[in-house]
Amino acid sequence: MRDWINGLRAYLTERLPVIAYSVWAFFYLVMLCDGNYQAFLQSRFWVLMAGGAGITVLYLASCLVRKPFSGRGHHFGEGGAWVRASLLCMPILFLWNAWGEGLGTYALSKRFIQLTTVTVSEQEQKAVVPDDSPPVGVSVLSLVNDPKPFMGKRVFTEGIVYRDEKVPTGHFILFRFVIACCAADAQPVGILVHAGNLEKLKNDTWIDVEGRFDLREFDGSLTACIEAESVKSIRVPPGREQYLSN
Amino acid sequence: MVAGENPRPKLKYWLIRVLFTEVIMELNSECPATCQNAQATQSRRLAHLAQGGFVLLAVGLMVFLHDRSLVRTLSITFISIVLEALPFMLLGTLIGGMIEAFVPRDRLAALLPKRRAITVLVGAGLGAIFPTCECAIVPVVRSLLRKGVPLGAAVAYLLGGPIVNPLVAASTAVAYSFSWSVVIIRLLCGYAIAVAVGFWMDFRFRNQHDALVPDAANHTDGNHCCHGHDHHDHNDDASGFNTFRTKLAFAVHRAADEFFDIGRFMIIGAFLAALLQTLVARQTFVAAIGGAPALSVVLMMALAVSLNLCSEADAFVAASFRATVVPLSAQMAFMVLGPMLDIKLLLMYLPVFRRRAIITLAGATILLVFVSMVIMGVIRK
Repeated sequence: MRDWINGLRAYLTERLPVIAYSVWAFFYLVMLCDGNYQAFLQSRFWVLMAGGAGITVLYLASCLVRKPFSGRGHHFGEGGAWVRASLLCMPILFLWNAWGEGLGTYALSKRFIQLTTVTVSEQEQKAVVPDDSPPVGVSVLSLVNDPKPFMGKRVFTEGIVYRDEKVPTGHFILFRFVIACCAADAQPVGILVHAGNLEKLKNDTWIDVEGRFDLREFDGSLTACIEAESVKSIRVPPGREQYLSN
Repeated sequence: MVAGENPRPKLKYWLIRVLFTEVIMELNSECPATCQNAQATQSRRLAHLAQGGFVLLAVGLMVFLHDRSLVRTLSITFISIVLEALPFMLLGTLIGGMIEAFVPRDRLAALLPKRRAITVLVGAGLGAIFPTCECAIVPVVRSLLRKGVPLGAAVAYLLGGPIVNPLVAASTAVAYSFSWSVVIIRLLCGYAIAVAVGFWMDFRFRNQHDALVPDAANHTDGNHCCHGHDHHDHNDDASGFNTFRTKLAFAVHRAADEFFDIGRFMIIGAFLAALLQTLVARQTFVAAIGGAPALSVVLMMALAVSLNLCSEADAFVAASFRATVVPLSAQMAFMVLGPMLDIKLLLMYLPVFRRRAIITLAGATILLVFVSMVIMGVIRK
């Protein structure tokens, strides 16, 4: 029995690089096929994923057809080989936990939220005429980047609810994360929403908001605000659809 | 025990030896080879134990606390950093393998300028022609060092490459609404600091072997590695392989081995960075700054080291501080230091440089970034 276990251990130890590269090659291919890498990276980074998959497969093939000249003598020993393989495979465990998930209010609380502040003259403010035409679908990022064209108009948008003690009564912040490269650099952008009944709205809830886009005094500056006409909870989108891109 | 002998010094020495074996081994250059081998084995065992413990801790976190929002945020951040950095590191090891297989040492030596100072100046600006991110550059530099590239030039390329490149210039321009002065200051500071640290490393380590771990050093001068394995297949120019096919196979084998050996440093670094990102609020840094320019530079440098962002993305995070009390000099410190030095990179330097060299490199970089940004802050006032 002991011989059998030792034999198995030796067999596995020799093949640890093969195991590590197989695991990564498998996950790369799965993420590329179902597009789930977009829950962590910008969609344009499919090239990065394809490149990673390609090189991993190449390394896997190299380990499988190993010739004597490539033997490095494994100066790190058996224990070292197991430690190296476990560390290389460790992210897969976390990938399992993060699969289909997105960042929420916990991550928001550790970052700065960029709210839609608007600099308008008094004349410009008076010139805004309420427009009753059907609502325009717009992303939170567009409202933050260029709010002026939407002033006085009816809009509908979606995002995550966030409330804390700083947000005025009867209001909440509707936010989304914007990523430049990956979720580690995600920046929250948000807009103030005024709505009547907020009891059912909990932090981290995904909602659709429809209402008029207006200006409010908040935290000492003129901030854009949606005067909500309807607020509806929606299904949490899959991880790959949760972020906006810069 | 001999009567009258005090056992305490022995115990103290043993404790110090167990905790700091690697440091003692590196500092005690007069230690005979056999003693160094024994210490190297012991220190490697300790390192493996620590790394194994780290894996167990991570597994425990996943098993017992996986449904907490903190752990979920940690998982997403960790995976994001790994997925972004891994392809670059894979590519870096592949390029390193190609260099080892296809670039003969004598040809590389002929290509390099004869004066060391010029190699440093060229090395710091190489990123402008070969844009490389900080994760890919480490394995490439390791291979270049093995091929005999001077330490100063390699360090200048290591530090300058991830900043002085067109992709970083473009992302900084977009993040700062095409404020070209910010782009120029970032690239110039990156270049100047890379050159200065390159010169300092050349001056401080006149014998290159004092700065490099045996695996990363050029072994043509008869110096041998202490871990006792055969170097026939990875320290020379693949001289036994003459055809393109065998050289290519050698390059890929070499690269696969290299990644399997050093990939773990990137994983540990990415995990620590994700942990810091998850636990420490950025507001804490801004609150601590309170308008003091020098302090703001220090804190933004600490943030850069802890966040481990890609050099093409960090400008967007730095730009988010424009609306706060953080001055431009501190934002610049964040953007200049981040690609040169962060937790992930510090760990990735371990298989390349000795600890003394890492401390010198990190110390010089931190000092130069701090001084130049404080001066910049004073000038801008």
